[in-house]
Amino acid sequence: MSEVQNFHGYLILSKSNSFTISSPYTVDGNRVFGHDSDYTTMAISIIKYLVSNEIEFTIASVDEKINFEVLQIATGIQLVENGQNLACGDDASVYLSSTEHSTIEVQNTPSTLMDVNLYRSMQMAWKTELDIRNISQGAYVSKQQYDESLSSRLSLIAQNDDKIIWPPRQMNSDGVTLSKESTNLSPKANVLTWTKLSAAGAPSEFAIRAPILGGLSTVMVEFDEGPRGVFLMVDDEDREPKIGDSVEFVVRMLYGQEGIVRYGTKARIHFG
Amino acid sequence: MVDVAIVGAGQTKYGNHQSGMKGMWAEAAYNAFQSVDKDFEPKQIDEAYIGSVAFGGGQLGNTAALLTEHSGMKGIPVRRVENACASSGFALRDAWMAIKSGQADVVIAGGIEKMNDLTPERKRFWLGVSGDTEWERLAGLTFPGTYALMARRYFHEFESTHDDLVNISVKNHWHGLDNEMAHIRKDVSFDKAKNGFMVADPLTLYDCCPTSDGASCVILAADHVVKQFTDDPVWINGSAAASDYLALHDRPSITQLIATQNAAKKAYQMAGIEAHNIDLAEVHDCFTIAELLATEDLGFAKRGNGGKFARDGAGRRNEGDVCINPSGGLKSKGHPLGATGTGQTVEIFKQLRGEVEQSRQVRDAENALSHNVGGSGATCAVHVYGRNRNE
Repeated sequence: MSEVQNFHGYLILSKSNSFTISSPYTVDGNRVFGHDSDYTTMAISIIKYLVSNEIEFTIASVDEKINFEVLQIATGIQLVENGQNLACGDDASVYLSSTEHSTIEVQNTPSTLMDVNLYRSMQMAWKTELDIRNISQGAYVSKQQYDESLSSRLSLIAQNDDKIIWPPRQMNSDGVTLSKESTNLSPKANVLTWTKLSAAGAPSEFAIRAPILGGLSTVMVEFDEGPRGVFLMVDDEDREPKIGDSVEFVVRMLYGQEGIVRYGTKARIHFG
Repeated sequence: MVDVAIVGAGQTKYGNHQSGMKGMWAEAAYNAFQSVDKDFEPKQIDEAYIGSVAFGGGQLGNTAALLTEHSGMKGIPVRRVENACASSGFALRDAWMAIKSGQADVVIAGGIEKMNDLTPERKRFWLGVSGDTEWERLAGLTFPGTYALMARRYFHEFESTHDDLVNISVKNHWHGLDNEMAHIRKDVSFDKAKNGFMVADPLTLYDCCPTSDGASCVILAADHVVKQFTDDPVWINGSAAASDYLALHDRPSITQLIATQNAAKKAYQMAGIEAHNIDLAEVHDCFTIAELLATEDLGFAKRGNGGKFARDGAGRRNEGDVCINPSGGLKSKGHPLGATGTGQTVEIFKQLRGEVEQSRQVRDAENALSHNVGGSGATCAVHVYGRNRNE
């Protein structure tokens, strides 16, 4: 019998030395990804689960469906010769196991029914958004610019210059060049303020999905170390944020541009 | 040092224009030329500074050269000034400095934006381009969202509710009702403004300015040539500007605009007056919360009292000590990004000379102020004007 835990909005199943992370959503009896999840986001979350629970692991191979560059930057993992395999299941799951196939059955784990029309609309929206012909005609973050701050974006690595600085800067307020990223921000922060933007006002990067989701929620948070940041909310369908709420951070799909998924950190209300 | 006066000012009506950029600019320039009391020829202009974000990308490069050659100013040094929504506030300051430096006697400051000729799909790409694209935009924010974050935090920190913003919206629509240049001329009730479509919680449609086409143009002259053009100039007695962190999350406080405070302090000092001496102010109310914060940052209300200031109707025309946004502000008059700053100056020029529609004339006004903000407060230009020269 495997143990099931909720983590980052996913289900974690563990049995002896095998771990599976699974989407909680089902459509027509099939387990499916949530609105902004894929194999890569789930792979990141399972690694973070293992690290946060101080479970030792080594990884020898990563399924090609997982974006290894993003996984590595978000988690810092390195591949070793003799280790476990991080593999993708057909049922919106990722498993870490020493054997070729997962020994954990996810079909009988708890699930949340997702509206089939909503699911199909979101799948179509991502497909359209990731079409190579979907190009920016105005505001634009190039791949190079996006990559430059990827470690700050995906793993919340900050600079230490007497005070903690995030997002990254080139110089401090005295004009002194700052060192590269050096310290991790807390995995949780407090909400200073928030808004829900209607679909009509959403930036073009989210213009196709925002109407389906009924708008976008954004929070400004303050980390214990001092820096503030703004993040899209995730898994907030049932409860709007409040000032003072504690949020945790998860890596999810942010948007698609020129055929490439751009991943980013989103905030999720933390209970307990 | 030489002093600078405004001797002419004109603009297009703000709203949806059939004409393109060249036509709109020519109309604003013509209106400015015609407003000069004595003989005036475009060939007397030494330099031109034109603010524009170039929304839509139709003419991103050499905008000023194109516009000026189409309006009788070919050959003079020109440039586009870009500082988001504060573009022409900074163009005005640059024009003022050109005269102050002694290198020019007659200088044009203007602004233009064509916003409503884009398809909705293309317009989306140009929303929020003046925030921190890499961090704010990718967190789902365009400016309604950014200002909504400020509003909710303000309500949390101070004794204020959304009703205070509703009062600002109602006031500005009332001020703009008789302004023939205004984009949205309609009386809006408190209930209607309070219950408008939610754009970015807690801001409704009635908290947000419209996207407008428009152009504005003012003619500045050095003190030693003013008499050639008019016996009734409006003097620029203070000009200052400042900047701040671009991203809201980098600022220590999000319920005040430090750039506004710093620019205002310098402008008042230069003009030798204080906030209580100002009779009317054109304030950058891209969102109603922006006007509330500006009333504090400009010194009309104490910190934390901006809500009460709005609640008490202290900024209503000919009712309080200072009239805030007699034109209707960005909320009613409209907000053609690059044109807004010098559009504020056009209103002040006409108000101080008693030339606006009589129904909306601010009585006995001697001193005025314009406040033009770029983005969520990363840039700000403040100008102080007087019927009398500050010698």
